[in-house]
Amino acid sequence: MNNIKNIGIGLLIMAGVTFSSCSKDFLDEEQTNAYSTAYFDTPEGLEALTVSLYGNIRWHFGFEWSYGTTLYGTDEFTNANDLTNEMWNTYDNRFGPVGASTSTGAANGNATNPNAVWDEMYYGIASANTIIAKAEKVIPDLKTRNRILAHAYFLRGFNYYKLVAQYGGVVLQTKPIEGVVRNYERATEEKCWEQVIADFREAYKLFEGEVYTYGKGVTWTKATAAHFLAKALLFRSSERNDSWNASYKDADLKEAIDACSYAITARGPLTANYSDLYANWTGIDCPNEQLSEILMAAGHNGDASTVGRFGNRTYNYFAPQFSSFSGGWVKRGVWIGSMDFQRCRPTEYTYAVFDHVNDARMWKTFRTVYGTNTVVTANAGVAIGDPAIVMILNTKNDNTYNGAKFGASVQAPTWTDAAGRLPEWATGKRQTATTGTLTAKKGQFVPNSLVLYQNGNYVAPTFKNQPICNFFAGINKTDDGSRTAERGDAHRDVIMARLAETYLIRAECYVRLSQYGNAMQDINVVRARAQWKAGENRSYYNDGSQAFKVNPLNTGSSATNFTASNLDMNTYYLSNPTVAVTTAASDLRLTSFPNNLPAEDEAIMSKIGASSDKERAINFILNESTRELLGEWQRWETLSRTGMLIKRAKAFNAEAATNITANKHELRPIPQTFIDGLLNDDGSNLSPAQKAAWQNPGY
Amino acid sequence: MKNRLSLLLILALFALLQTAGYAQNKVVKGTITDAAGLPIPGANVLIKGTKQGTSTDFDGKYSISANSGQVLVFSSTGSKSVERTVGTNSEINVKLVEEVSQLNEIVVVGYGTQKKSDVTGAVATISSEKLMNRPVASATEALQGKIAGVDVTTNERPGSVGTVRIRGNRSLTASNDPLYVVDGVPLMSASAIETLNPRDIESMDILKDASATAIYGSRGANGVIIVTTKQGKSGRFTLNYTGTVTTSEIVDRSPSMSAEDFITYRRWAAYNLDPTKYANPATPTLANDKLIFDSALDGQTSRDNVLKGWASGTWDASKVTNTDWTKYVTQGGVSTEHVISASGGSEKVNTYGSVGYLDNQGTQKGQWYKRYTAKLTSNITPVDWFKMTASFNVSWSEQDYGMSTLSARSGTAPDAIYGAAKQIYNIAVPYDANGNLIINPGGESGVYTIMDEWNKSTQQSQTMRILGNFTANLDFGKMTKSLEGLTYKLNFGPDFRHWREGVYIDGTSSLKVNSNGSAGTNFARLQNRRDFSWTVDNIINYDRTFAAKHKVGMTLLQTASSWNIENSSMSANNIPKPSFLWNAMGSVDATNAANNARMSSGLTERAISSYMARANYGYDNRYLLTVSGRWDGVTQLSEGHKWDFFPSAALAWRINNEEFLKNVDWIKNLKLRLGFGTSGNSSVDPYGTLGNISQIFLPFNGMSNVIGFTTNEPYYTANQTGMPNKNLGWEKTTQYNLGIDFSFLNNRISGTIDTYKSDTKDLLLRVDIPPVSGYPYIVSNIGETKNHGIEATLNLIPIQTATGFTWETNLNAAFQKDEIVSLANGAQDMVSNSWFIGQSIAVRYGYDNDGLWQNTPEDLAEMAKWNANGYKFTPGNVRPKDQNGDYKMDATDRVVVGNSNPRWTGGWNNSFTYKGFDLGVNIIGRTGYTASLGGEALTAHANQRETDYWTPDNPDAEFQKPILGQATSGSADPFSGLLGFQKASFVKIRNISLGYNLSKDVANKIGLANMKFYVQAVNPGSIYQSLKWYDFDTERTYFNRSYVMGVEVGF
Repeated sequence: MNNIKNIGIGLLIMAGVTFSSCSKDFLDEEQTNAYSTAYFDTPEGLEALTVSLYGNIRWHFGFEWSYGTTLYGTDEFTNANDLTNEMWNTYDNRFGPVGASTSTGAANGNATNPNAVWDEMYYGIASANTIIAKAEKVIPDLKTRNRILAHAYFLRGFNYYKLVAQYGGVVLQTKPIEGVVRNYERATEEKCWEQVIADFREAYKLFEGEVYTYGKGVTWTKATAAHFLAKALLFRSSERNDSWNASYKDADLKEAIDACSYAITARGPLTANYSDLYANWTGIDCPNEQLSEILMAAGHNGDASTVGRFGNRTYNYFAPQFSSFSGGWVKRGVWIGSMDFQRCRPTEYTYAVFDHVNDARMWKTFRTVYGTNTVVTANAGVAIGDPAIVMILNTKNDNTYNGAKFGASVQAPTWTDAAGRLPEWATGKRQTATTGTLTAKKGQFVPNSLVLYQNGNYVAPTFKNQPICNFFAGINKTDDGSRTAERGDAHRDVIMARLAETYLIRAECYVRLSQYGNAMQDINVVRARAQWKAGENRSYYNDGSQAFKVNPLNTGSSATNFTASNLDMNTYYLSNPTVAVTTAASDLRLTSFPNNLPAEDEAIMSKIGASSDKERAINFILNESTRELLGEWQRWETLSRTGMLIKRAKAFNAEAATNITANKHELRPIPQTFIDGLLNDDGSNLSPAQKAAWQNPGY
Repeated sequence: MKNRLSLLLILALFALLQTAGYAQNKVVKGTITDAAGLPIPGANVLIKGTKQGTSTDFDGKYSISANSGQVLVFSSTGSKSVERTVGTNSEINVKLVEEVSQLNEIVVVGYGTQKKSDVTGAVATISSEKLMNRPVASATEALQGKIAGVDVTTNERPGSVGTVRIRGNRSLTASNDPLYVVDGVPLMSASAIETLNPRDIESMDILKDASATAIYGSRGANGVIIVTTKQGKSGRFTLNYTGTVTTSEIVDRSPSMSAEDFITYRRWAAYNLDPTKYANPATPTLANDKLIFDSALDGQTSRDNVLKGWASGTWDASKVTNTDWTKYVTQGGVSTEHVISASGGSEKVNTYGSVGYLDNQGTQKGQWYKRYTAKLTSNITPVDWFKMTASFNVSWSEQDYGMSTLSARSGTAPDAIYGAAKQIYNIAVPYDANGNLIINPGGESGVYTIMDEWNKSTQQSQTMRILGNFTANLDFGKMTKSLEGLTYKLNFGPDFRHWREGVYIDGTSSLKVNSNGSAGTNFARLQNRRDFSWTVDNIINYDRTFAAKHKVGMTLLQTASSWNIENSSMSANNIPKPSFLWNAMGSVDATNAANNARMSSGLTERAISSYMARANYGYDNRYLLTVSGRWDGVTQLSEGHKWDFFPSAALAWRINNEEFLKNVDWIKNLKLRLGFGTSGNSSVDPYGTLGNISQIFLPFNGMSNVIGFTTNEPYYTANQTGMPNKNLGWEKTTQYNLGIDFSFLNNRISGTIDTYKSDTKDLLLRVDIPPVSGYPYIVSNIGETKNHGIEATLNLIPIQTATGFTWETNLNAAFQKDEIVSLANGAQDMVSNSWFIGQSIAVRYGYDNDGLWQNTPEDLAEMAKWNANGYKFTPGNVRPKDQNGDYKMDATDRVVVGNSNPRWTGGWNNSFTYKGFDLGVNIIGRTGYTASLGGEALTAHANQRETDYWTPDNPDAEFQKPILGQATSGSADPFSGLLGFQKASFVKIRNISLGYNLSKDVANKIGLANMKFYVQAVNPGSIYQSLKWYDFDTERTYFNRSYVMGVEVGF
């Protein structure tokens, strides 16, 4: 019995030992497989944070906000039958601080909420603030520190530029935040521009020069900072800020001109062929992504690790809905460089602003022909590889097609190419940049055809197979044949600034200083590049779809579809029915400015009633911007800046015209999510009056 | 052998006689049997008031010497003891019946057990028979409708389980899942109890109120479900077989429109779009139909099908082929289950073992679930003061998700193949005239064929789970009298789980196929996750009664748990051969970007260390007191916040034991309970306070990728990191519970009523913060919610006749109402999170509606006022509710439309027995909440279920008028979504079961101990659904209806 007792006591002691044996570090938390914010206190860590800023700018092209906040509701683009972001184009009652959801009338869950851009800009700003606050202490090497600081100041300036351009006065935060802060103040626009300009100035000062640390095309350099410094100064001097900017204007414009001049000198001449900027995209990271002209681009490649959530979705947004209206003649797939999400339909203005004959940019930008990859009706006289969709971009006074019947397949078009103005498409005889003839075959029937004008009327919107026009000539700046699946994301960089725009910025500064001669000189640099060069085949067309040639998927039926769908040609000679076939150079240069402008510009001047020299000059530059920068993600901001948004949208965008309201829609609504999250210093919620004060007028 | 044992027994008896020292004049013999008449080996026979006794042999026979007039006490584990006085008869045969008295029922209260009569908290117990009255794949499913205040949702996908809520929700953003404890081990891995074979479960005890759950401290706030698995019973050897065959079919309360209905519907939509262009549906025209049914994308096959109706020149809908696409993807799902279990042993060693097999075939093609389970438990008591238990629950399960929805073409893709089939028009045809598969039947670009889809993509997971449990018990009282009642228990519970998921989506799958029918890029993914956790408990228990009236109990606990997860994932495109599936990732060139090869791995660790003390005191079986306190410390919280304390106290008054009620016959039990306790919600993610940053890859030109680090970059990941909060602590729920247990009229009426009020403070609240800081949210201990409710359980035996007919019924119902008390900054709403003070914690918030606009003068006048503001209302459109009367819908018109958590939940379980027959009916229901079903877009360019839509002749329709439009463009009626808020409630018959027990004699004749056959109907139908086209239980329009045949055999 005693033994048992002893054993019992022994066990009890053991138990007691176990009780206390729980060592102290049992509850210490250590994560061995991740970095924490402490990493930013090391030079490598802070540099890694700096590199991440290049990830922040990629957001702009990730999703529907890319075009929603920049292209919709302007003179250039309107919505087609897809209504995902319709409210951003029509400014209707669903457009507001709350953001539309399906329960408040949005077509689907993808409608852009006003906080999409807002929130993202602040993520970048927060990173930049951290870099700026820490660099001095963390990075001993001056050269590295300056580069890192230059990046941080640039990104912060860029993000604030974007915020102020979209929303007007915003919260200015320039230091890292510790802990939860809910009481913010809204800075005036004047203060905001001061911040933007100060940041860009700092970046301009700190960038060493044209040093491509992260590769050419994507790396921000001194010229990038110069371009945006000029752009910010020009913004401050523009009409939207007229109520307070008088004292800044003169100095700003001069400083802007100097900054532009730096960029122009540093980066050398413009790319010779406009096609090299967009149409001649031959594949991931091809040489054309590294042109000197490119000052800023959101980088993309084919590497899965860099794709993020969105990749580059912009290839979806410009093509007409060919898979639907074509009646099955053109099936979509990886073999065509765009998906036909028909978000952005050019307005009549967008076609009319071009000199259809002499401006090569038009024909290097609009895709006007799709080839047949599926024969739907055997006896229609249309074979695989024949034109299936032909879009004739004629002009208002052209009467060639008055009697013909055009339309989407379901509208039973009967037009045929009786005059033989289609270029030759047969394999082996296809158009190249310098060779090619018109087709020998007259009277080709095309299952889908459209024309812009009949009897002087703009008839283009009547061609469709859906309630709203989904059959139109779209632009090719995002086409990408490198996708790994029909819905695979695109891999090409998205250009965010290039030197041609720098010329237009400088030209506008000159205009605002009434130096019209200097302005014309800059404009003509841009226009000279846009001319047809001697020996150029005007019927030749290509776009980023051509990257499919080196795509591993280019085999079997996909290879056949690629050849059949992409016919390397346009409708130049159909659209200009009286122009004889030529390979001569064209001349697009202005000879006088701002008076006696080209006919297409004069037509626009009279439509919007621009009469003074300055008005005419600025509107001409807006026209030139369309021709040069169509679809390049900033039109709305440009129009808002120049005070021309309401006027031009009313004049040229039928869908926007009804609702767009002066003194309201020049600014985006401040996101309700942001206002709802604010509190006063004492922790109380904002009163309705305070909330209203945060909101932009009219919302 | 038998004889030898008897000999030994007799020798032992003689030895006893020798020591006893006084004369025995009689040998009493007999057999002890159970209720079924089977002998009980190892049963005890004791002479009352002495230490003399014996036990029965393998044939249940005993023999003992006793004096006449002495009392023999016969007992066996789990049975009521029986006393007989020794008389003249020298043979006493005893039948021991199982302990049925509720009051002596043992309740597992956590770190120990109590007699039900001594329990002071709100604890519900459910036995295996009640649990398994219908075949279920998991124990949680079995709980449905059985216990007041325990709400279990339905998940009909084979191998998936619903969610369990005990007393509703209290957290706004933290988890509301209960804690599961299996044989004393709190589960920590990603699998809860669904890997257990429910037939291995002996009982489940649900700790509902905080006075009961506080002993689980920081993990107790959402309630605790304690599972006790079956153990071997000493003395009885049993072998049981259970088998069921279940056939299931999908029942759709709202099937797709027939071809004819759809045609009319689209004509209406076209007419409503433009009455000048499209014909009135009353007078359709061929030209009109050609236009509106144009379907280029399917090669005009669906249009041509519609045009067949015009073959004779006049419209004849019967000529159009009607294709019900769901029939291609559904199957009569056949499920089978086999379980063999054996148990037995002696007082010293006993064992339970079982092997189970479940093959659950879904009603949708491609979905299935298979589970193999094995359980082995042994208890060894080598000396009377030491007992050891070793137990393993092992399961292997495989689940095929069927059609994968990974990388589905858009966010609106249905989650399963049935939903995909319902996207296809009945006017569409699967194959064209040449027999080729049509990729986009119906001609909508987002709608793909489902033919053979179940063979073209697969998502298969395998889960291996080993739950172990090893305990050693020391009974000090058996060593020395002075330590009577003192025990020590060491408990070690490892939990190992390995999960593997393979996905393969073929290039011909609708998710990948090119629009011309050629194969797209295939995709494979392999994911692995290994969870390993363990718990060690040191428990000292002391239980003793002093001076017959003072019952004292004490539990001291030290426990520690640790959890470790490793996970890895790899995926790639362009798998060279479909048969490789995910098993040959190396065959893909990872350096080729087109192959999109990705890999990742991770490690997560956390641990908890705790101390707990609990004291019970009972006075005279009338007054009971329980007091407990638990200290928890965890890794996830920062230094200084790691430890916290969770107290509880409860009082119970057994009124029926008071003098004034002692002689009231009809009151068998009456107990009043009052409890209070504080428990925590521990759902703080590991590393949440460390300030982790994320790595991103940056693409540049002419160089390889550069790695960047950032706190948050939404371009790369949708799940953002919150601001690290070093001050984070527990979310704490304090609950008061008042309960009454009663049993009247010889148990004919019994039940429990509990009412509670709980207050949850320091919510683990994920609060959105202005992103200016670089963080979108922070998890803080901020805000408060409260919750109150009442639960009633009523067990009645309304009919019990002499002829053997019995009707037993259990009615349980719970009401709960939760409410937000304060938020991030006191009594102020947080609109951006849809949180409103004084409202339910989960609300539907948005615009309300006023039904449909009608073609009446009043409505037309109203519409004109709206339309002046840019709206385009016409009769038949949805009418939004303008809260402020400004004829504009904007932020100020948003209101709380309803709460999304049900206020009332309940179940009604009936059992009728007569002779060998028993009939069971289980009913469940929920009511008092608002569902958000999304409305009907009615574009007529998306397939439509049979819908009551507005036409001039049908103005009282449920939904608005259809307007033709592209499906991706959304509804042409901007406010159609508002009709998606629907008041929800339902009462559903979960199952009806009819069983027949073979009589003992018949069973014995064929060599069996017992045998039962039964047939059941599962989900035969609903008694009530608040929408006639919807099933609020499955949260779909469809549900599975099953018929079961089963047999239970005991050898």
